[in-house]
Amino acid sequence: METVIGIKFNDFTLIATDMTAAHSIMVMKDDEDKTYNITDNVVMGVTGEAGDVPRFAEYITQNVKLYRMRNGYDLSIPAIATFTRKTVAEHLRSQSPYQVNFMLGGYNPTEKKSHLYFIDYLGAQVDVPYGAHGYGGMMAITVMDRYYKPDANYQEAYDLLKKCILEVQKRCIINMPKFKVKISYAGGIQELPIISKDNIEQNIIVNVKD
Amino acid sequence: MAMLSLCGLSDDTLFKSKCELEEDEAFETFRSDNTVNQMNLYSLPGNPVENMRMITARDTMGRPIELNFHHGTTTLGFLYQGGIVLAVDSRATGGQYIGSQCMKKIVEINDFMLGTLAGGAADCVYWDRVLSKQCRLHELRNKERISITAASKIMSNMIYYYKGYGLSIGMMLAGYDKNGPSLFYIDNDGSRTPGKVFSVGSGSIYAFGVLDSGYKWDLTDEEAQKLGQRAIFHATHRDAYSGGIVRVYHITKDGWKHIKNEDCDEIYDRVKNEAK
Amino acid sequence: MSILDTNTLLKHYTSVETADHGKQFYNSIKNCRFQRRCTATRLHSAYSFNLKKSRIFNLKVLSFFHYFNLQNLLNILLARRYDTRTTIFSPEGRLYQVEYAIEAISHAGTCLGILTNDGVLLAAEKRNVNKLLDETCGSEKIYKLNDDMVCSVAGITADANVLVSELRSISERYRMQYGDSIPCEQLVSWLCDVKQAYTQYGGKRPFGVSILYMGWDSHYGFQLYQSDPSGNYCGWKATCIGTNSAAAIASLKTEYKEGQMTLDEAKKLAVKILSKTLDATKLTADKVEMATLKRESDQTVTNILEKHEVEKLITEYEKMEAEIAAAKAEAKAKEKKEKDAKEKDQSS
Repeated sequence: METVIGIKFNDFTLIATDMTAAHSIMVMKDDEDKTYNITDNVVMGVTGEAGDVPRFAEYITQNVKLYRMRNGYDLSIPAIATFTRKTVAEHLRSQSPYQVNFMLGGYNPTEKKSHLYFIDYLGAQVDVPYGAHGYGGMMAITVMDRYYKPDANYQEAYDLLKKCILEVQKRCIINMPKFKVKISYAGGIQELPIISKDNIEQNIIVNVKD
Repeated sequence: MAMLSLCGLSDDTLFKSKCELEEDEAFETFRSDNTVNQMNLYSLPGNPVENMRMITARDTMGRPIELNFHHGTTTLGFLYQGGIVLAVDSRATGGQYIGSQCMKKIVEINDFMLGTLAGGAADCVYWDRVLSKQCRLHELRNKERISITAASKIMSNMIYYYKGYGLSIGMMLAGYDKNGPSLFYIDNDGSRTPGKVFSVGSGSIYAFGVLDSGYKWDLTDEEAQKLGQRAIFHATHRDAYSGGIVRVYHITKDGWKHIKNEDCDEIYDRVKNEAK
Repeated sequence: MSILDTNTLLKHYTSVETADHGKQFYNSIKNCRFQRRCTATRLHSAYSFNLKKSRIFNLKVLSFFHYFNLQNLLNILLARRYDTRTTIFSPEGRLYQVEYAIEAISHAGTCLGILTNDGVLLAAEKRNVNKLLDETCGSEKIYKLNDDMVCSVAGITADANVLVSELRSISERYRMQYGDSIPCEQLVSWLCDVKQAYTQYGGKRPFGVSILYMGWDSHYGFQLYQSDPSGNYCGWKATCIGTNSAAAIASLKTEYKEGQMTLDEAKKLAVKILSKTLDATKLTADKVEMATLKRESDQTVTNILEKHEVEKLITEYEKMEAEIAAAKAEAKAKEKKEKDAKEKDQSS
């Protein structure tokens, strides 16, 4: 139902999620935030069953924070991804599996490398250059197949994301008017302008603080 | 499957025969248990947490599907410049049967917090009572009123704990605390989300039509109260499961205030000749 | 009243039958200017003497001591109560079993660790040398824990085996959870939690093992840790456990060149120190186990040295020693010659 898109570039990673909160056939909210900042440089876009999403994301976030408190350093991005996957997989065959899908990404300034992981509710974890969940993801993925280049700058990356979202909004029966965009780069995590039906045709200049 | 739920068709309408079969089977065991012990005649299965699952149908993944209670209700709440307005209907239904026309669907949790009920009446009333207790305890322990954020988290935590066990709750929690007014939507999925405009229940789709077209942040108090009443009224007009009295409450920094109760028939008579 | 000799004291308190008497007795000697300690010693000797005489004496003495408030004396008399179980503090606040366990390690084979700029080194003294021993069963004192860590143990080998397998489990568990090698300190810390538990929960004996760990992780680079049976651990630049460890640490202190050590130097230093601290007259390759850990093209490389490599190090060391000795002798001879010459000059 919902859509989350993640794209990894050489020195930053973008995560975008739609902002609708739907219950059965009705949209309850159009300003829901489905992105979660796990650490200072790791951001996770989460979709899935209502209730499971914030709870699971909080569980991961707090555990990663706990790790930092215990050891004085953060988990690496691959380690966070593995931990997330492991937690999903452990609950999969339980009474209450978590119905959650993630695009988990971030930029590690010390090793100067960006990471992006596709994790689904079954516990599959794939290291990808770009990926997406949900119906919207199917429409967006070919746009990225066609136009993705790993060395894009901030503006080109944002415009690629806009291209994806334009396609989603054009072809998908589900109404997703607004997308929240977050960037993880050397300076940490920053929120970029929301991509909405109103401004998607316009030129949005991306300002990323250095 | 996602498409089905998108269109509002739940799985059990498709697989009804199978579900009924399973439910019958489950009830059969209860019946035979009951004949063994006459004292237990048709009582609810001993431990609901354990046994409710036995009478619920299962989906294709083998997980229990929530009990399909009729959410025969319309409730709404919205935030605006003058505080929060809550409006509800008062009809209680069991299937096609109207059980009550004067049910109270707004629960006064404390002087500054209200909750609305939609879904299974028993679940709502019970868990609201538990919530009231928790809020009062919080007040006694911490010597200050609980924030709406905290209260809603307590509520959603309790509900989430019983997720998949067949609870049916769709509530709004509204109130005024030291951070100002806030409005939360909580339901039996375990979701809890703050927002400006919510409507819950079978009549919510109808209520939203009026509410969304009349809503703006700068409403005056009187406009807001009227909008709330009007939205519920129109919902009762179209939704068979909603009706009775329209109750309107208003929450400001001084706490909640009951504005008025008006029978929807009377509203109809009053409104029908009004200029659009 | 003055109580100056044991006999008077004895006479008084053998008459103590009840707590009330004890109180009286206490009051009567309170004014006595004896130092507490002095009194205690005397009472102790009196007690030992009386122990044979009376069975109810114990009770009497206890009630007496209660009023006398000489807890110290009780400690002396009852020390044995507190060293039979690990979970009970002695009145001075010590855990005897844990201390005994630490003591046991100071008799175990020596283990030595040196941290250098380009790697870490562990060296251990092998005790179990026998011609008939099948050496295919692997090393005795040094164990690889994971890709990035190696440890060497001193103490009860049976206990050590349990701990090493626990260490390996912990490290794999971490890999399961995070898909990454466990950072060195975390592994040490987790194991020390286990060790600590055995000093606290009932009926258990602490692990009689100290461990030296060397490792590498992305957070802190090369590291060297030591843990003891109490569950305490510490990071080191160079350290030693086992027999004569104090002497070895002392010479490490003088020989360790802060921030300038290389792995090759460390190897030589290890041989030097081992040859000094080992009881044996002559260091041989089959008594020493050595392992190194370094980084090569972003990969941790651990290596347990072959016998012939150790042999080479030892012969090198001996050669150098001999040279130094020769040089010394020469210098001495020269000095003597000069001295003689001087004397001759003076006399003439």
